[in-house]
Amino acid sequence: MSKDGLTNQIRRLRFDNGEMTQQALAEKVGVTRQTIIAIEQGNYTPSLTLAMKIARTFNKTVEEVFKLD
Amino acid sequence: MNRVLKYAWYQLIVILIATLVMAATLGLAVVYWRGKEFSALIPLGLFALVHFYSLFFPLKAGEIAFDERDKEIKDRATRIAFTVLWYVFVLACLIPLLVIGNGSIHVMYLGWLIFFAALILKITWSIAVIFQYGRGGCNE
Repeated sequence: MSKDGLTNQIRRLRFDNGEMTQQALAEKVGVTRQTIIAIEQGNYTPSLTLAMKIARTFNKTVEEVFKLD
Repeated sequence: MNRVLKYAWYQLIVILIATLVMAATLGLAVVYWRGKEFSALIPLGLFALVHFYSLFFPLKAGEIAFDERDKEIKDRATRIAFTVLWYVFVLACLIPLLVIGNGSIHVMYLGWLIFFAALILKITWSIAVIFQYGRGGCNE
């Protein structure tokens, strides 16, 4: 969980989508692999645009990928 | 390793090497070339290597080198570097006043002040970048 209480399902969604690698997801949304790692670990809160791009990659809504506890 | 992080390390190493070579040259100049101590400044030309990063580490085709997180880290590092620079600058202006009082300072003091300001800015920026990536990316 990030400092601002945001959790995400990216790791699970990657595995549900044919074990997509972090690198593949990073290339699809146009960021570095390190940023995907930081988001998954809750060390970085993505911008709204990036959150929407990630959600769209998995055909989910932003709320289904990110949750505010 | 992230490209911005790699650049920060590269910059720190270049500055360290240039400073060490300058210190060694200054030592030699003081011992062997009396009156030509300014020749010790020649190795400072090595600092120019900082601007040749892209030449030594070219961007691979299709590589995403910079994103919003990198921008955030870079911007924060720049803010930190300028804050530190401001305090150093204020100290550098006050110290002669406290030490010399109403006397005068050597004209070279201003030149050195600007040089060290640039150096401090670069060093602080690099350290701030390394620290920010290090804190959030131990498994990267």
